[in-house]
Amino acid sequence: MSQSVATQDVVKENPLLEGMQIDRRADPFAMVILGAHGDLTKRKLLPALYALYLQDLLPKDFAIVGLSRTPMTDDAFRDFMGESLKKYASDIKFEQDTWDRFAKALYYLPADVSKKDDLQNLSNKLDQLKEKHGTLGNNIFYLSTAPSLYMTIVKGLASVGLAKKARPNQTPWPRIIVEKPFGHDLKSSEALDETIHEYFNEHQVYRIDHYLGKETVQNIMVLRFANGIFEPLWNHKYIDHVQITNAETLGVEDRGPYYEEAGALRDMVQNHLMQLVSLVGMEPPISMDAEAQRDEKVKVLRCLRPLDKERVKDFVVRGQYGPGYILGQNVPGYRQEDRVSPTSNVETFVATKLFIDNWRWADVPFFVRSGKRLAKSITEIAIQFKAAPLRLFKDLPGIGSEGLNPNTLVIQIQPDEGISLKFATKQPGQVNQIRWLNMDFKYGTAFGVRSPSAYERLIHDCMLGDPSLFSRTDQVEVCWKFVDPIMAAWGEENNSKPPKFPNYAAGSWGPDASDELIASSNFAWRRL
Amino acid sequence: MSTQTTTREQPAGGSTEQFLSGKLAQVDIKKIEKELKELWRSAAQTDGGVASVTRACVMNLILYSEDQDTEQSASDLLDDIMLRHPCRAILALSTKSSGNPSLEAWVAARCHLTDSKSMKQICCEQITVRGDNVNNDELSSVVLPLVISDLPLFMWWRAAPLSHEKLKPFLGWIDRMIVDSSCDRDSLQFFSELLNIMNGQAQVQSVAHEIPFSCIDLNWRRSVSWRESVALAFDQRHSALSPDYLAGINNVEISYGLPDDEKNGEASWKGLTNQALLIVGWISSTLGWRLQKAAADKQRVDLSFDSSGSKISVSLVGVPSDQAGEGDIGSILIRSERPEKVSIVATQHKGMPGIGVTCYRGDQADRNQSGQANCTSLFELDEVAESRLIDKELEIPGVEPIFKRAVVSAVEILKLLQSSGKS
Repeated sequence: MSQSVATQDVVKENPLLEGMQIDRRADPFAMVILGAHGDLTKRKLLPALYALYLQDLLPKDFAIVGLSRTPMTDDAFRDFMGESLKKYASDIKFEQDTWDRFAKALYYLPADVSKKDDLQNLSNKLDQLKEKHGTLGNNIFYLSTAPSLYMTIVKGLASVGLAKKARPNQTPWPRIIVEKPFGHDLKSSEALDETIHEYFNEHQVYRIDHYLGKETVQNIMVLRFANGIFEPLWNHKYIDHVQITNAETLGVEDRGPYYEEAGALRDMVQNHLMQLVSLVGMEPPISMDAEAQRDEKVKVLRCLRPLDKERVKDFVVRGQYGPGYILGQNVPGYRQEDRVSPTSNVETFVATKLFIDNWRWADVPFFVRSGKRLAKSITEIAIQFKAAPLRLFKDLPGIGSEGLNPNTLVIQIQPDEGISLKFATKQPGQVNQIRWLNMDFKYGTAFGVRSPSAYERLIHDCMLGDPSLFSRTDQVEVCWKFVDPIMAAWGEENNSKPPKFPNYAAGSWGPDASDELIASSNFAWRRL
Repeated sequence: MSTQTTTREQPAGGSTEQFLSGKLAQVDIKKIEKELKELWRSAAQTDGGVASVTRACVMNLILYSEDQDTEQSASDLLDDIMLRHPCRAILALSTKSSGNPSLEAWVAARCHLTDSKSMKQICCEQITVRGDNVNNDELSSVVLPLVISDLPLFMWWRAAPLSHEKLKPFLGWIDRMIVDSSCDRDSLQFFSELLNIMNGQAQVQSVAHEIPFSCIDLNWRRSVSWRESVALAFDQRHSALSPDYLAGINNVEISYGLPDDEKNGEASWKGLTNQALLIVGWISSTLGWRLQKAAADKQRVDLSFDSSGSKISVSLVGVPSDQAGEGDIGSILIRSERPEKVSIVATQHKGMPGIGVTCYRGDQADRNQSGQANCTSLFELDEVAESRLIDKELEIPGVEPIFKRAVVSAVEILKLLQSSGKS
């Protein structure tokens, strides 16, 4: 993860570096986490930073500043984070001595990001840390606040000189990490981008979509482009259809107000699932250079067949969960959740049929679904291949006139990261009988080493200035362009003929309309 | 005299529980695969309180040893290695005794839990084949058919001396060979033999193998951090010195550790300087230095190189074991006189967390560690535990031409030392 072989240019200058695996070591830096008292910081960001520290992937000189409105001292923040680490990062070995050394670089600043004086305090603090911790003035600002504060923060940082444009390779550098959602729709996304680009160049902006940091998601590129056997089959001639499922048993938890604004379409489909569509659908990049990869992702997303408002109902299904049972527990419906409107029409489930109108994917449907409070927590991509052309085995017991099942390649993203391929084999015995088997690869089985968390990978990449796994502005834009008409159609429908929500019980696989959507193309959702 | 092979009647050696627990169960030498299959089949069917078992294998690893007592330590090492690199591990023991020639085999599963919640066990298998008073043609005829097809084969040669002749029966099958010069006191014989293997096998493999054959010395891996610290000392992104100083190098001093019980001056440089010689071989071959003179005396080796008319002196100096482990590097001092006088000192003492690199300019360059440092940095020292070194080798397969160049240079130095009559 952290090493690369010295390039030819470097070796020409210094021959002793030939063949050497050189740590991609980050420059010294200070990271400011805005919204440090929130869930993301304690559950994901601090554990990721600490894991990087344990692996010696942080530079020798660094500092981390937590910033939020809650009054707290440095020590209280350190204790709070230490406790959170023990609670939420069970895969990371906690040793008090190591934590104490790490925690010396942790600071806290109570601040209201809308107040210039408070941001001036931040600027002063960063100056002090530059001296004390040798951070060289390189600053990363991690926006982990409510999205509505993003513009205020960017402008505020600029007002005290902390946000400024830098050329590539210029030092000291400021960088900004923006958590999704990147805007609320196309218009707000463009407005946010405009503000950010007023003070940062695009190479300084890291739009984080943690799905891209997952090991299996990165493995899609390797599976497709490092193996010779898949790519020749990876097209409309051999692939029947693609199913992408993101199912969660969890409800909205304590994120009711956020979810009321977002809904499943904005929360999952516009970003995470579109990323998966682009990775499955993209053409091979000309190199592994960040821009070459991102160019291809954008290109395929531009080929998504647009949905005008009139056709939305034929291609997109929405749903909202009602009360039901999850793993034997009675759970409330969405409208009964904390801080959710009892008449809410916000969707907690989306299923859609997409088409990528290009040479490779002509007429291959991509069925994408995402929902909360479904029967099982699972995220996977299933590539269903076309069945064998001649039904040689149609008379065998159990085959029937429909013929054989098709081969399916499944890329499992969570919970058990891995890949499996379903194929037919003869059942041992005197009688010809066909059995379908899965050939499985599981990360946890094949490699005895711990996979880094998505946030570890992404934060480390940002420290190194590598944007490959972050969303570029045009990618965000093209995704919003696709979902905007869906939101507009639903908005109109809410006023004229509101949906009959809830339309699926918690613990089920979503509304009946979802099954009907895929059945209209003569397919069925995989039984997961 | 014909070789005795152990044969037994069914059932397969030991119980399934014994097999899964990692205890070696003796099996019929002619039916190793069959008995393994039977054990796995019964393990897969075991349920009702016993954790379910998944087999994993991404490579073959043969560990070759001639030491009868190596079995336990090798088993422990394999256990550790298989946790990170699921493989079929074959411990090939070639021993000598006063008895009749014999061949015996044992099998055991090496399992670890994937997580405490699911209680699922991931298992690999270890096969031990012991050939007593048999030659390697016989031993390899049992060992090589056990290699799982289409998976890379790594062979770890854990015997001294390194012998091309003994290796021959295995060589055509191996993708990557791992040796360790720290175990061999006859430096010239070791590196010459290594070079023979690399040169000979390079020709064979270019015709027969898809994966290029490669060979690596664990001592080369041990020196990674030292080589990195030297290389990066001349890299302005990491240090205050530019690569321009490389052309001005006029002196190199490398200290190596003497054995614990021989610090009174009894130890010879032979064998103990293998790691240091690889570093000298690496620097000299990379920077295009030509060897001029070589002399050795007890614990010191003095070499003289020429580079575009400039003379470079290189010394290898033994230091007591409290400054460096036996045969390990204790420090590297490099002096350069162009564009200005500088010196670089990379040091590591026992108990230090890494290699500290300090550079001095101008007058301070001569005083080395006494003056004010102009630049300092700390490089993490790679773990040197044997299983971790093997881990690295299994992680980064591939031909290392730089290593081969270093070996060629080391052989050249050793030959000159021999011909100077003082080796």
